[in-house]
Amino acid sequence: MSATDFIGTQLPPATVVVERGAVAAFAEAVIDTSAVYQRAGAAVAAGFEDVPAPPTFTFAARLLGAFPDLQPARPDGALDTTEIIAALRKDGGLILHAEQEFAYHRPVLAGTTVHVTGEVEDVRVTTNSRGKRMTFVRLRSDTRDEAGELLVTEVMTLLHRA
Amino acid sequence: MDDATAPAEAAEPGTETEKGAVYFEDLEVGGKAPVRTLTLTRTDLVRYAGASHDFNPLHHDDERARAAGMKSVFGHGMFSAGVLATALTDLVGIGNLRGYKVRFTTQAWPGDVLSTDITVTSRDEATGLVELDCQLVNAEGAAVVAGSAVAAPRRRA
Repeated sequence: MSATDFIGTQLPPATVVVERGAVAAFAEAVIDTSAVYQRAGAAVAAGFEDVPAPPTFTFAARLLGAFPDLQPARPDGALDTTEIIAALRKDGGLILHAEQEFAYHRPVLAGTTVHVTGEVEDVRVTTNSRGKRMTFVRLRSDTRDEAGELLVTEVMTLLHRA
Repeated sequence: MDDATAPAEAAEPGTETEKGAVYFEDLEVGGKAPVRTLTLTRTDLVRYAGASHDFNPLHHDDERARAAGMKSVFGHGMFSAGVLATALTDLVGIGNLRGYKVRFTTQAWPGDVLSTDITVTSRDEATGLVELDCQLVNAEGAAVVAGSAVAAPRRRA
């Protein structure tokens, strides 16, 4: 199987609880001292319905709040990030997180439950100047609220160098 | 993380009042955001590991990092991306980012002095959007992460 065959592969969907404590701890960890992440009143005063998540929170959200009893059935053929990395590395080589991008549509709020879906959006294979094969894999994730409104779109680009 | 001119200790979380994000009208192309500087510690990395549940040992276990050929533990790329995002929202206001992308270019090591460098690259009166180039650089001037952002800062009524 060539790397480009992964294009269109679904990532397992996830249901993720956005807990206020997790949001506050994440804000501290990215050295954000704003009261908006720590005090509900400050968040409301800043125009939010509840405490919002910091810009890069959704990258970690699945690890923080995808409690097993809430998870939807895994579709046939879906692969998670770890499995995609293992498949790319089956003949060795190095995997790097090359790029990360976010498009923000609406705030992700503490106290809500969000739904994440994703897929392998693109795979590009090139050769660098030293003749090494460079495979760039774009994994897109969409985070939606309970009503299905899109909140955040993310693309993680992995680089496999072999 | 503090302004370059401020003492090194960060304020207690939640004790800061309104950050005073800028207005769209105050931003001009070529303008720079205040520089924020951080001396990276292992505690920063452990705190980020706990808050993100990214427990890759290369970021908190020196023995494992050396066994993998690194000189020590090093920062999570997403820690650096998160710190740079903090500097962006300090400028444009929480909730006002519309897009943010970064490339991971080199490692950040404990003891590195990391500084934010944010420049306004475009400004559209009709849409109210600004584009920014952003990077987190070490003391040698090498970018740890580099990228760009789009934001819709508040406007004067």
